[in-house]
Amino acid sequence: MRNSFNIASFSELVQETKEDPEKAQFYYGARARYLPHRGVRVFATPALLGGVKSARRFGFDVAEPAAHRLSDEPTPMEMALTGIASCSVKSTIAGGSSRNVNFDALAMTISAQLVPGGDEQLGAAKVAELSCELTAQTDTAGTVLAEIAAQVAERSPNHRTATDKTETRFLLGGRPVPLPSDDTPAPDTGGSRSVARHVTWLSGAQLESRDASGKGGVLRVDQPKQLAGVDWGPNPQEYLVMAAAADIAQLAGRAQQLRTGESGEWVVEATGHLDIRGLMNVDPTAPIGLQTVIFTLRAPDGMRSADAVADVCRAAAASAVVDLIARPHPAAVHVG
Amino acid sequence: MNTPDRAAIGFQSGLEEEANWVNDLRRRRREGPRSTHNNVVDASAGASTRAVHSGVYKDPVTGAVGTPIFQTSTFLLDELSYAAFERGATRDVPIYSRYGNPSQWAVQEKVAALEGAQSAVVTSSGMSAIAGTVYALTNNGSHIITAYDVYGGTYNLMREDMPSAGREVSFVDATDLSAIAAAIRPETQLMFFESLTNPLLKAPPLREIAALARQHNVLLVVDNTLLSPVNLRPLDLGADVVLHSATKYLNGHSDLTAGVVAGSRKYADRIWAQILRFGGTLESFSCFLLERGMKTLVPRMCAHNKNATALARFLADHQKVRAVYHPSLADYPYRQLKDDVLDGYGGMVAFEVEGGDEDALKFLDRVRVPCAATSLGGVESLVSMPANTSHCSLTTSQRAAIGINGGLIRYSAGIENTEDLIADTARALDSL
Repeated sequence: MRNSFNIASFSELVQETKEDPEKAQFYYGARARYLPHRGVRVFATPALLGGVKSARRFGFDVAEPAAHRLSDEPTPMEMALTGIASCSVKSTIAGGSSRNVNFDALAMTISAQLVPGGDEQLGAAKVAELSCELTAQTDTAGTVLAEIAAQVAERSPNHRTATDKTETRFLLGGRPVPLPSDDTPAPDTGGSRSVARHVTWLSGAQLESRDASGKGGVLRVDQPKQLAGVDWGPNPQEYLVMAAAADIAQLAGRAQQLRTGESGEWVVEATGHLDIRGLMNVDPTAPIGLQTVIFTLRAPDGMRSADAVADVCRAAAASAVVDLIARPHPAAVHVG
Repeated sequence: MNTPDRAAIGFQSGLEEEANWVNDLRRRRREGPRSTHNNVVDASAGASTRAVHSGVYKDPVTGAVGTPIFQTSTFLLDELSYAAFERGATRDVPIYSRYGNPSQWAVQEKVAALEGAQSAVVTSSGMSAIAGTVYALTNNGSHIITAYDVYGGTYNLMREDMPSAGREVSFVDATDLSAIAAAIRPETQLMFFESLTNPLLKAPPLREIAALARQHNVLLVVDNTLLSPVNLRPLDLGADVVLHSATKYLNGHSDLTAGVVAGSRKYADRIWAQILRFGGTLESFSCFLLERGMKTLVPRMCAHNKNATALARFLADHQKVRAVYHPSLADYPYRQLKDDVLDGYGGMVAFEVEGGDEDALKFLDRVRVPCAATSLGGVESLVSMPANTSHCSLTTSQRAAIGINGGLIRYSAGIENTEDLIADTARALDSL
């Protein structure tokens, strides 16, 4: 068990997906619920890992932008950055372990520069810049570590989800919500702020994510036991879809509030499809990042369809997490 | 130590010299673990041939015909051991008997050959196999569907341990496909059913349940204890995992407690890891007994099948018997079992005597061939009453609700002469 990482088990998964590509198709999901005066709670929903279901029991109360912040309430962007950095760290462990590299310590600091989006009233934001810095304690040569970091930048699914253009789809009442595609870089209009997380590898598939300042609560990261984890926390893809579902639920509720003076219950399910052959590089044509992130929304009872569509469109356009996923954000993995 | 072939076949070819990324890793799942010393019988061979010869450890030093007893807790460390540790592949090299021992591998290979499985795990009891399987294949937050009349030990595990382990359980009528379908939730991960229930011998429609489970990405685990692989192979019907209390028919001599689980290597490895953490390993001498017992499984099952069927026919015509439960009878409601079984229905027959529990107790006292004892599947016939053993914690009305009526006797037919069992039964019934 090099680095407490089960190489044999991972190797078996590699071979299994070579023989049967269906075994490489992983589906992760999250369900967020916004209630006025109570905010958003988001859960991971059962994952499907190559046809094998994995029940998940992880949920978070999500911090409201304007509310008093509790230390165990992450923001959607903090969850999203946790998902991206933890995926990179895990990819480093997987790749490094297969190359006989022993790590004494491994961590990544990820930072996103957020700039105001067009909809100031809703608090819209876009990600202007993303940076990822990997630090490692190992007796391996720096050149090898740099090679691994480059491989991680190329192969880590969530990193590629952030750096590539990723399709997002919104469904409301079973119908697609038409959204304009926005590939334009975030304007540098001043008033930017940064969100940064420090993700530390503990052992095997277990990691911890903290605010880079060291303050605030800890987010645990792990893998499902079906993927050599111990169900200690959500996995990186789950953090990403939970962040997306939570952000859209929160913003849709607030959009309704701004439009009508009151809001109701919004339920958002977000799913992400991952073909892990991309991470493994067993098929050069396989996509690496999440392929399509689908949001299925349920608007408050009695709401006019056109109003609900308008609120969803406004929420999608304002969401920094959706921006992080959907629009390409070039970012290398630097070794510190 | 110069014994490179003591590791599982394929272990060494899965050790790559260099890898640049994970796609260069070479290990893949294989049958077993099986060493070059474990006898492999072609899957097309008959069940009895597989039962006798599969898995037998062909000792290269002595030429022993039977598997030696590897009565050791630990094994010499060598490069293979260290490689297994480093890679997390400790199931493939004998290192420590809780992890694996050639005595266990021989049993496992025989069970896998009989059930048509890629891999098997032998455990210290049937309940160890069940608990290990259920825990290994479910997560915190999952949902399990099982039968309300499942074996008492399994019921207790599901009812008393699963909630605190974060698993919810729905208890349904296993013969009612629509009830099973209605119980499925998004988080349902596992269905656990018995191929034949105890003591009323109900047969769930396993093919249909397997199709339903597959449709919802739910794993189907089947406890095949009462039928044995001679009579039914659940994996062929679509189950993902099959398990047994090997204490019963597989061993067949009522002289050990053991369990087995069989399925794909993917699931067997996960169950193995759970079993070793729970400490449910079977020790070497019991492995020897079990492997030896399984060699005669087919002729024993033939005798069990024949005796129970003959007893059921006899009991059905007896005036002091109110009801008989056996799949061979014309009024048996679960007709699909006839299409699914390979040879027969095992040695169990249940019946109700006219005089209720009082006469049932007298019957137990007056039969001379069977022993009044719990358990089943041994060469000797056993009789017992569910009302004062396995189902004694239920009220009379609760028992009636699940079909356990007054006067119910469970008769586990052994392999004695059929005419002796019938004559003995007739004598005991006539005396009531």
